[in-house]
Amino acid sequence: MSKITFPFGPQHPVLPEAIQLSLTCEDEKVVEVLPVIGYMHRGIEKAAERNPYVNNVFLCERICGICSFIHALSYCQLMEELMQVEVPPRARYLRVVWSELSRMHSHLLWLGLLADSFGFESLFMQCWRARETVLDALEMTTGQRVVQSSCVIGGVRRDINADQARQLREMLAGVKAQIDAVLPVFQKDYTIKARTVGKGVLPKDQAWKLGAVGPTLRASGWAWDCRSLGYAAYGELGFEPVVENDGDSYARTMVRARELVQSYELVLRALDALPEGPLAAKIKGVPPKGEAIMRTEQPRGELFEYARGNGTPRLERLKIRTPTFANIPALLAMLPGCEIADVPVIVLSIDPCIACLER
Amino acid sequence: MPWMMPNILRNLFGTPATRKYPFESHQYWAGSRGRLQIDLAKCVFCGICEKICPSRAITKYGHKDDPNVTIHYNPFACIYCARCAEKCPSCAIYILEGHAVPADRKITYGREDVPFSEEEIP
Amino acid sequence: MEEIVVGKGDLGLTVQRLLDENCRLATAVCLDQGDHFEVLYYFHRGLDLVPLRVKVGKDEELPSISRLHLPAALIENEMKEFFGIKITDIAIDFQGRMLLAENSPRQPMCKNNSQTATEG
Repeated sequence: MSKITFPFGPQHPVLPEAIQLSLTCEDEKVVEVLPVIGYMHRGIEKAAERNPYVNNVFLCERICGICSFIHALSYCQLMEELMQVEVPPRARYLRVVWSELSRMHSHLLWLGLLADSFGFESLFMQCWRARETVLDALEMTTGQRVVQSSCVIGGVRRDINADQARQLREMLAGVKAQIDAVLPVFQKDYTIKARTVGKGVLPKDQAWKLGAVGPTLRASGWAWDCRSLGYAAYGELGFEPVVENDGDSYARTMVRARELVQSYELVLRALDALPEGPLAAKIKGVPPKGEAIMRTEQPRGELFEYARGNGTPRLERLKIRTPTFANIPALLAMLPGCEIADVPVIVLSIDPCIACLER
Repeated sequence: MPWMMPNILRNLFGTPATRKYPFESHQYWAGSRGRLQIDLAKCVFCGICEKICPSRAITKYGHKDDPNVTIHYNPFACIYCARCAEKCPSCAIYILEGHAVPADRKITYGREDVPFSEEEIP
Repeated sequence: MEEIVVGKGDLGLTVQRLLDENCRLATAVCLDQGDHFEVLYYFHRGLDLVPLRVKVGKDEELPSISRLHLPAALIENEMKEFFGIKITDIAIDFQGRMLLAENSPRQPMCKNNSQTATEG
């Protein structure tokens, strides 16, 4: 049988961003995949060397629009580690609230996109309707919907007062009711199962060796989540990673569906335990000579940041390894052997964020 | 699918989830960051906002004691982080709720909100 | 987090030993130190990190570890592209066109690159 190579992307209905996969197929079966990336590279690591370190918070936040808060959070924690700053407890809890709200809106967005990828339009709209309320909650508590700018080095800029906390709980109760209406569809619906069960299987040992992170790794049976490191206030909130064992697209959907509910519970727990106190610690001086590493859990997996200071207001080096960068080799291993019609669903199942990938 | 029926019925007979846009506009939450306004009558021209602006949207021209000193604000570079409004010692910078309306040219604002330079958007 | 420092000759052996201990590459960081490059490989051992530091001269060649551990190919391509570090025999070599375009400045992250020089 002769082989044919054709491009998947960079413009494809299922991809919100530009990435090309060069697929080599035999009949309807994919035999080889090569990624072609570089459409979204913006040189953010270089730009971070030019800016004073305080301004990089706003730069890092703009790496990606979906996980913007967690990008800002990891940069702030990285600088706090480098400069030895103690963050007040209230700020740590508020950071958890906003991180988990970001995770909720990211997972709802992804569940909607998944439904859209096999043409389930009404489910897509249901998911995004629930997401809208989460974005409203973010606007109410931080001042903006997508790029919140509420995290600064040393703490946070905005407080959630008792009245806002009450409103937030009401809004989240509404979101929970909507989630409860859509999640059973993902779990039980015949069409969704037919399109996801057994598609793009990533066995347990291979998932680890290929460097997969986040829900992609946890769907293959690894209880591996950076939130277990206990950064911000996760150590005090009692956090358990969500694990599924099948390693297929369905398992990855279930991990995200269960994480959605878990995030909802974490927000409520963090609001319940919100301690009193100041919002931010004072920052003095500039980053000293030295290195620091920070790892946080984004909706898509582990975010790794490395910084090297040199005693000036500008960093010598800032390296950001985003979760999608780590998940690409796993994606390339999942695709060979699948049908062309399943490629969109499998590509989506790692939740690719190309703006993150190329920074 | 029987278990979807309650949700389907709710969607069929419930109120629409979307807003009737031109007749009903979005209600911004208190403290949301939409537009920036600089009140030059209150400004002491200390230059802090220029120094801390992450996107270099604010530029000061001239020395503080110079009678022609002015501040230019470029809303197209602004990222609405409101750090300037937070740090301004004379409270001359306000952040207002509600977003700016779409524009057909890029205007940098100078004294008394008089456009300082205009640039057509191609 | 104890750090392992190796010469570039022992890199392959050390990486193989780490891989046998069920570690995997988290990422690698390249640093421009004026007269030489410093490459920091970070390995995941469970939830922990194991750093591995290699110094390599500006015109010396660094053997790729992507033949031992395929996921390293992407980050090695990135380092090669951004710093001009001579990494040889990468499993998937993008020839310096992974993230950068034809008309981008070459080796943008190097400190002495006048096209992308740091301000102030």
